[in-house]
Amino acid sequence: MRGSRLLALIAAIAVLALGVTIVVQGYTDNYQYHLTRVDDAGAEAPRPGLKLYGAKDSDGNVRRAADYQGDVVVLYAGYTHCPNVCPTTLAKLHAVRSKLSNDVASRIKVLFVSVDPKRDTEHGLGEYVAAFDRSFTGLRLTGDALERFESHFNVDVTYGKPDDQGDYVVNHSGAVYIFGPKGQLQLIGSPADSVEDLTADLRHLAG
Amino acid sequence: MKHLPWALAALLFAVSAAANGLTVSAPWVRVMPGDLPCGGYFTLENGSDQDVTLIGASVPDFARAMLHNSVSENGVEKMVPVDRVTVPAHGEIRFQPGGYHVMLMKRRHSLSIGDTVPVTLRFADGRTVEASFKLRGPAAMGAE
Repeated sequence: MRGSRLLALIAAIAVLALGVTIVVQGYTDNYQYHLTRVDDAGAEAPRPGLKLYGAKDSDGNVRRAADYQGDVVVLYAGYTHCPNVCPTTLAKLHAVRSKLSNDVASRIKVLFVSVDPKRDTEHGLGEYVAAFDRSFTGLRLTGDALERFESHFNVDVTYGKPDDQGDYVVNHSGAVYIFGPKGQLQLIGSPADSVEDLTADLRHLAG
Repeated sequence: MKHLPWALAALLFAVSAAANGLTVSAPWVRVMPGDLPCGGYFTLENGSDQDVTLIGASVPDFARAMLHNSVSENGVEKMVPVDRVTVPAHGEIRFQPGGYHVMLMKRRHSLSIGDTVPVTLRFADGRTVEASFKLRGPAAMGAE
């Protein structure tokens, strides 16, 4: 082959290779998450795996991380006597599920873990979460198991002083932990996240 | 003339309560199951030339009604009691999910979603504003 033709061939192949690369890049995952990505948090950042420490659902059955293989789990700790933040978070998550296709929504499992077992019974938790969305699960832990759960997930809990009626507030970490279908922590949300952001990210994770 | 009742209804609907330049709009209560504490929400516009200070809410259908604010400190969600909150002249304050709310405890009777409960907002200078708060379910995100 003559020099100039060879050069032309090489140039053509180079252009083709560049073109293919650009097209392939377009199909790879360029999705920008709205919530905090655990992968962006650095090697030292805690990445708690999905562990439920023997938590029981409203039927009194122990639920395990293995029950949720293949699902996207949204884990949030709170208490039913919370008048504002917990209901708002669960209402948002219900709104998110209603915006997703049935297929995708069926793979989103919201777990609400009570940090107030003194007032929250398994049955009460079941009724509470069902009032937001029939697919949500309420989980109850007590004693050491609750402490280990809180430690594992960095859930800071403080109980206020009971008033003359015995009522008290519970201050608690508001992190919303989102696990991918293989059970690894992927995203960390908060009660301040919008329904739009939560919907987009969960659709991408579960889709 | 036949449209007058509708016009009036629309006007009342748009402006739930107005007195002394103070207007309450979009008032609602998120009704929780059983006898769990509920959250009351609204927007208060102060159309007057003077600041006003909200000091409480009286809600006869509940034994207790207290003003609270939800704040997030280093990722911890806290609820702080609010003794007083000032609404500046020609300004407004929103009591909404995630922020200021009226914490309603110990309902005196069962509540029906879709009904309303009367609420009297009380101010430091002694005046009051009444509004009917719409009862909505737990998954509600607003007055509508």
